[in-house]
Amino acid sequence: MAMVSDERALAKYKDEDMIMSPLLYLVGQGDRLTPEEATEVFFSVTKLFQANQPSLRRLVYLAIKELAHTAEEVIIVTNCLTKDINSDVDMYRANATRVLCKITDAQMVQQIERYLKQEIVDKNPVVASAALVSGQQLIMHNKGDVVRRWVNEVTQALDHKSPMVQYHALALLYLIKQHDRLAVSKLVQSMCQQGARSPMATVLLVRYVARILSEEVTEGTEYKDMPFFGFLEHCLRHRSDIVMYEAARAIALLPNVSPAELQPAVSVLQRFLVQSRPAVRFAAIRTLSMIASSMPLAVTSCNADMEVLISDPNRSIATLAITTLLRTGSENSIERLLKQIQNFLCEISDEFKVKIVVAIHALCIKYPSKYYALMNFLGNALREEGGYEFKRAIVEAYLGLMNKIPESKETCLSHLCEFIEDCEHAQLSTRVLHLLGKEGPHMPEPGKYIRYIYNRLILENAVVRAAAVSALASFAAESASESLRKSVAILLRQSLMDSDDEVRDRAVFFSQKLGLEAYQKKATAPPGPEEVAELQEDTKQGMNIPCPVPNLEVELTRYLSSGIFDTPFDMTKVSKAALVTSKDSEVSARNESLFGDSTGPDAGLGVSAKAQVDLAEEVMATPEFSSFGRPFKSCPPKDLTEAETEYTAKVIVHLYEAHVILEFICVNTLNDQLLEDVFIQVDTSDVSGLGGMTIVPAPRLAYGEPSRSYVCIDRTEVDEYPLGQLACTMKFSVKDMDPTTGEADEEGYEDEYGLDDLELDVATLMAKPGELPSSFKSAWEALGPDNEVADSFMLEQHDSISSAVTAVMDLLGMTACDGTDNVNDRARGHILLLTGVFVPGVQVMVHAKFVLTSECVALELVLRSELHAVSELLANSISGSD
Amino acid sequence: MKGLSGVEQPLVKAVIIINHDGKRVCSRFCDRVQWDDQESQRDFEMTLLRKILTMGDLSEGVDVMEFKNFVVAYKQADDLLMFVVGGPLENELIMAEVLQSLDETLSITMRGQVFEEAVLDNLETVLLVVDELVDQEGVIMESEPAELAVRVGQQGGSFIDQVPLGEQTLGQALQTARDQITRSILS
Repeated sequence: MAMVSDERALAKYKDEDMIMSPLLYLVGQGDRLTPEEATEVFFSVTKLFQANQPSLRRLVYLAIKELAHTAEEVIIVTNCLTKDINSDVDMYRANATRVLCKITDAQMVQQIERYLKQEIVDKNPVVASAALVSGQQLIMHNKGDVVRRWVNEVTQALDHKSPMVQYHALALLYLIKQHDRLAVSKLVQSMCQQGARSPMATVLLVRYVARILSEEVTEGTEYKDMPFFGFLEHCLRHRSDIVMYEAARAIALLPNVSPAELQPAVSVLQRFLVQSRPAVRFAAIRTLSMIASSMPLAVTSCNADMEVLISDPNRSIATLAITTLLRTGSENSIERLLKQIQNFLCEISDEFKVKIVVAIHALCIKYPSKYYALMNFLGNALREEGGYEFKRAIVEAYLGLMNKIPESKETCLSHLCEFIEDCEHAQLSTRVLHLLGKEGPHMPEPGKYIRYIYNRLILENAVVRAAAVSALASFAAESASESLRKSVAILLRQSLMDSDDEVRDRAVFFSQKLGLEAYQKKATAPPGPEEVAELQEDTKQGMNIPCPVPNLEVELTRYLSSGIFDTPFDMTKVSKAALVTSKDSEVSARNESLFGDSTGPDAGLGVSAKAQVDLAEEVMATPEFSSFGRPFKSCPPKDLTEAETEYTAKVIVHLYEAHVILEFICVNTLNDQLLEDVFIQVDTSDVSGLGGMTIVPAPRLAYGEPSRSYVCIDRTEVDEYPLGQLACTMKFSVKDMDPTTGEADEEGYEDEYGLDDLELDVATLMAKPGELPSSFKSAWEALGPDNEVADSFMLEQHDSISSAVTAVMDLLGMTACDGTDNVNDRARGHILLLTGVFVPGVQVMVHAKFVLTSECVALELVLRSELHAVSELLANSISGSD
Repeated sequence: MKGLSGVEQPLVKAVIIINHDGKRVCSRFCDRVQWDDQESQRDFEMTLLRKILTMGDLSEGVDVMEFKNFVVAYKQADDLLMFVVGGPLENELIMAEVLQSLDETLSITMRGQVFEEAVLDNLETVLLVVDELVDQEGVIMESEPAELAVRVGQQGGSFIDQVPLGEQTLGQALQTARDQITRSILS
């Protein structure tokens, strides 16, 4: 290797610094040296200490920092470096200090401590800075015990005439004191008073002050009243823009800062927006954009300046300006803004385009009346050049908007139709085709969509053709018009002979199912209108998956992994509970996050990662209960003990139509005990509607290994709901064990351990629906007023709308629709829309109106469900808790 | 940076100088947790380069962008690209200032001749500038270009000092004179 000859050369050309550059170049390029080579090179380099040429010496220092790795190497150079620390050349002292502190160990530091202390108070800033920064490194690499004794010297260095030394001294002093809150507070206070000369030191102070403010702020106090806040405001008028910016940003990042407190910071940033340096503009717009995401109103004053930035040569600045404007812009400025963005869109990369599309989507939801202009913009964007991610973002935006703004449907569909005419992404085409099939037949002029679909049928690849066949068929399935059915039949005729199996199969299936063959063959007479209606109903039944797709997926996966295929998979079993409502409680993906949160802290101890996928997995795998099928609902695990007890237990409640199964997960945290025959005795006397019990004990509970024990309680009546407290006691036989050998005593003794009560409340019996209704209003009307219960309450313990809303949601365990769980802090009234599925599959919807009065929150509640008893039960549960 | 539980001081995560082919000229990666080996460093340099090439024409001065959860100050100097990288919440203006002073210091020490070949010819100077600018852990040591130039060339290590006065161009001679005056004022 070239290195080796290099290093030989080193020895020869002692007085040449020519050789050092190539060496450092190679190291810098990352050519790896073998350990032997590194050592050899290292020793050659150390010989260069004999040379007294200054620039060469500096390079030697650099080389040592890069190369010194083993202990022997360090010892060799330590002497030379210590000598240099004593040298009278300041640059040597500074550099030698930095090198030595980097490579040395804690013990060695003590030997040179004396010199370091002197250096800290040295007049030359190079020397002082080197020693102070080295002190920081020592602390950070846990070699810094000695550094804590330097407080006097470092405090003295705070008054150094060089600004950088002051900065380094302050950083080191904070590092020494950071664990002592009082000392930090004192230090910061005194520095704030005397003021730091160096901008960098002031930046540090701003950060310390911001930290103290956010730690010490309590509810109800305003930052304005806290003494340190004045310092931040003062820094907004600093002469250095670095400090001004740091202070503005610090204020913006304070938790729950009020608009009035934020205002001066925003005006500083606003002034930055028109500065000539791009870095300043970028910094300002980035921070404003961050503020706008939580408090758009605070930023509106900068709108005019931000609009100018749309044409900024730095594209990052321009994009940030647009996305911020889209959040803060007023309703009547939208059209003008869109025009400006249009020109800009073709010049930026996809990554930025996606950001803009997302912002437009959000804006459209905020100002639904402007949907037409915004959609036109999206439509134009669809025609632009762009990659898959960009187009996908637009299609997603359309889908989202159609749901939120029903009147936009027609525009959306026509834009998407044009898009698939010229779309190179099969995935997006199929998605749009499916949507056309679903929505097209219900539009005023279904016929016009058929042309677009047919075009796909003749021009595209097999995947898209198959989707087009399904879409066409759904027109025939939904429409009563004879002529439309006829045209679909004729269009499908050619697909009956398609070269692809899937396309052909679909075409044949639908032709037969929907009675379209008559038109295709001409021989037979077409079916009459009544017959058609029947066929259509039948097809739709067959097409509709009677349960949410995620449920089906979970069940299919379980079926496949069970490995037992004697009985065919029964889809009705999946849907049984859901048929009533066509909704199911169990959406494992959603439960996952819920579950993850509740078990977060002890995930390592208790429940296996598998359970995160499906709460009901264990209980369904237990032979005693496998015949029950999937429970209606499985509640997230609940602790029945404190975290730090001898034995811990948590419970998962599984609800079935005729049973309640309690799955106890027990952990033994004593390493000198082995528990056997562990079961939980449950007292059901306080709970109505519960009968006989079956107990499945855990045979063995060894130290640290979670084990499951089950209690299955029969429900006596389906309409008698199990509500109340269950007293639980853990019973077992203990065997003492030697923790070192793991040998347990022969004889055990019986013992028991009290657990917390388990409460079954309304929320336990309420499940989240498989999918939320797309419109609360239509679902509400569909449910009808037959089982309606209306009542009003005074919620005396609440003094704000938001706490009352949360309490009602928690109590009922229902899910909010249309985002009505977001409550404006200052609102005096609020309407909450809830939906849920009550055991064993009763759909429930709630319309709750909250009004804030002078003393309490008034609640007007209207409940609709499929069973009158359920409506009443739920209404009573609120008055009961009140 | 490890061991720091309190407030972080402004830290530079990397100083990078590459040419337009992505070849490293001189880089210092301070955050050894983020970039623990040569490959990840190279990788980062290459993605930075690709990003820059997609951006079209660069402006004259120091610019800033957000890139892969970093704040990156960047500047083009002849056939070189220079970057100063900081964490996602770092003060953009400080990163810009560090880059600005790197650029200015190189200009002073290399008589305005900042391009790849010159940098490679004077690599020792460049290495010393970077070392005096930020230390190996990313702490900013000094950001005043004149002061940095003094620290790098204090003992006359710079190549120009060895060129006899008569062989210098007029511009170089003026620059040398100006430097010496600055030094005598500052030291």
